[in-house]
Amino acid sequence: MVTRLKEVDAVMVGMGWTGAIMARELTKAGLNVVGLERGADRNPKEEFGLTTLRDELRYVTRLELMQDNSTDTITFRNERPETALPIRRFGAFLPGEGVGGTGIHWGALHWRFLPTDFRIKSTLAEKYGAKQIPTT
Amino acid sequence: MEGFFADPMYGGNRNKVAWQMLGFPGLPATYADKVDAYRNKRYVAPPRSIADFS
Repeated sequence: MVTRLKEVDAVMVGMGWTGAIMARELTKAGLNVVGLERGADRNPKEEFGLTTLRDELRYVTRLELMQDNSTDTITFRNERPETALPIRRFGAFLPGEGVGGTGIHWGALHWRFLPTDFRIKSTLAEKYGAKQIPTT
Repeated sequence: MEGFFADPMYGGNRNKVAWQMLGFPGLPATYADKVDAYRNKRYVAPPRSIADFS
């Protein structure tokens, strides 16, 4: 059974930082915006507050703020001829879930760029050879 | 095993016995104010769990 909702000016699919900033700009311009986001509804005071946030088993080990990759995940491949396979066990890349997206578990660490960061392609070519850089 | 090392609220680690054994202080896990006083010294404190702050 399809539920037909009232029409709005814009629908944001995903309310991470990108969606939220765009929604903010659109609403400032007077548009009526609906934001869609997957995951549970969270209460910042309860779930992002101390001391709940220090529950390492819940957040660090069981990754409760992250995307539930048993139901939906991203795929990955190391080489182009390979078939990309679903990631069922996250490593360093941790996509978030819920309003705020991956921003909700961002640790606010912002390292200063190194001089090489501004010439990555040249640095890689010098070190490994230009042929090592994929063209597309 | 998870329960033994996790906060006692999960049913294991009763009376914070695992944390006492390891010397893990539990919460709040922020020590910026103690760095100077404990420089090159062992920091020993009775472990505190989530329930201790609730």
